[in-house]
Amino acid sequence: MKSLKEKSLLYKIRKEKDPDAFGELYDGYVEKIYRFVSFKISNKQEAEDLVSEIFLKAWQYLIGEQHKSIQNFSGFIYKIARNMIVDVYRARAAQREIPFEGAENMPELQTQKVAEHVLIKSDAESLLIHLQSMKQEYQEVLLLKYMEGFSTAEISQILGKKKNNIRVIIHRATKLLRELTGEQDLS
Amino acid sequence: MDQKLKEQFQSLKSHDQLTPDQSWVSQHRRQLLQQIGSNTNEAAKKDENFFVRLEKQFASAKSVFIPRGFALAAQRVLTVSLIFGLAGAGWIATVSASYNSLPGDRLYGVKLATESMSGAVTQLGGSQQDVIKKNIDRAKRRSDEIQTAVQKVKENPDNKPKVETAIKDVALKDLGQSLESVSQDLENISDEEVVEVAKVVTAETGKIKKTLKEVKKTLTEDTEGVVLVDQLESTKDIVEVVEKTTKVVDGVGISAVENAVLKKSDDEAVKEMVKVVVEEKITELKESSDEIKKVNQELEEVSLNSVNNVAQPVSGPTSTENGLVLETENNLVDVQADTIITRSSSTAAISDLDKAAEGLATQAPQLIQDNKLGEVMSAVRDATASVKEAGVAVLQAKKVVSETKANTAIQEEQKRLDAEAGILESSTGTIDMVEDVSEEE
Repeated sequence: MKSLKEKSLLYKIRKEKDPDAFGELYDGYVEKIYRFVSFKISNKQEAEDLVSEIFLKAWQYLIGEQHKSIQNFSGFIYKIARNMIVDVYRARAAQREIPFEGAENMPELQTQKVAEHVLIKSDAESLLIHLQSMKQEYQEVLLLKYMEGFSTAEISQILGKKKNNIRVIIHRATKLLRELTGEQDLS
Repeated sequence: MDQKLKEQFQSLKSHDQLTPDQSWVSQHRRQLLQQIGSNTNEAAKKDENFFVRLEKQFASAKSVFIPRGFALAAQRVLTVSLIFGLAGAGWIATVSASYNSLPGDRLYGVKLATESMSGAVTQLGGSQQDVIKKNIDRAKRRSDEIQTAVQKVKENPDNKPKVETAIKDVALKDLGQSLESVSQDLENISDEEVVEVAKVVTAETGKIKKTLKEVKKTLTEDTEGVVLVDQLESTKDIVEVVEKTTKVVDGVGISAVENAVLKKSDDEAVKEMVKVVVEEKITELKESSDEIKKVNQELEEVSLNSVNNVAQPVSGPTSTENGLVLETENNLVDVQADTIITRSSSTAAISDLDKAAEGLATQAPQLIQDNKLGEVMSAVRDATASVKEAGVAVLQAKKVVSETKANTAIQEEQKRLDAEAGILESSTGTIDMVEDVSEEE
């Protein structure tokens, strides 16, 4: 979505509390945010609920008394999504369902096992499984860069990190992914 | 890898797990809008008066479109830049208004100053070739302006003196200076650029020369048939400067080619250029020869006319005002001497020109074939000198023609006066005779 168009929609939302303007933003982002969410939360019902919550929260923040103005809707909505996913993970971690951090320290053996596992699956699916075996940060940058086509600057806004930092993360994540898929190719 | 990754990720987009159900999307949208629609409070908005609303509107617009910290700084910057902007706009307007000005216009100086400024910038940052191009463009612009200005003055001679002075003292001077810088820069040009530059310079100087010739034509056609010498003077000055400048233009074009010959005589493009220069020179020689022949013929007619005219009164018995006759007679002798000298010098010039043209036409092709481009160019130089001398002869001849014409006019007037006086004298003579008779009685 063009950023000027977004800005005028944001203005309408703030000034007139116009639900239709928010509807337009919703149309532009719902699929992206759904992808972002479902990437980490594989349960469909859970993902849908979370997306719904994310948009509602965004609306409430936009029409409420703001301490910080919103310049960029994509950065804003992804940030909300990230935070809410983290909340879900935390809740889960408390229940010891899925380990949240630690994917980066994944043992060789496990990677090997994953690679074997994905052999029989389609290319896309194996990529997905490889991605999901990576740590959150790597997943996010790869998803935002290669799937949603965001620029380094935009990713840095969404993740709240410096551009140079993002560049390094992208580089490392790409390298790791290449290694993972390369291993699969060899075997 | 990046491209491949992108493709893989794009294919992943349609993966079941990552795609929301469309039915869910539309249903959720409806629900969401309903939910948030009930949130909006219209009541609060109605209570506020217009100005408060307007201010809020501005404030929220500002906070959306401009970053907060930036907004305050921007306000100051905006104010300051508005002030400078207004001053600057005046300057820009003046400069752009000066863009189409001509010699004699009020803004013409601004135009030249602006060009000098951009020229200085090129000199700092551009290559030698850029600087030469810029200067040659500048000269070209001057010649075009002069042509337009001369044409305008011819149609509407109201501010003729002002425009003529501006042409002579400003435009032609600027043209000459631009060309002088070109010829200086030509010496420092690198071997790689020399051919390219020579091409540009010869092409452009050719155009300038053509324009200046037309300017001269416009100026002299304007004066043709006008006998009064003093009105001619100012225009004649310009014509002289125009011709001088034309020679300079020609010289720069030739030195560009000479330069190329010196540095890259084996280049086929240089050979072609030399050929073109030779052809042009031959045409120029012929034109010059034709012009001088025409003037010579005119001179012959005029001087014959004046001799015939003056011959009668001098030998006539009725001319008693000896002082005046003597003066005219002396004048006539001067003019006749001038005519003779001028005619002989122009005849010499004609033979020079014809010889040079013939020499170039017969020898140059062979020399070019033998790759003796240097010799060809020195022949071209000689020919240029001949044309220059011929030009001086033509100017001299034209001057004599106009003086002789003026003298003839005076003579004719004198003759008419003499004739009238003669009639008067013969009648008083009769009266005298009557008086004499009465005295005898």
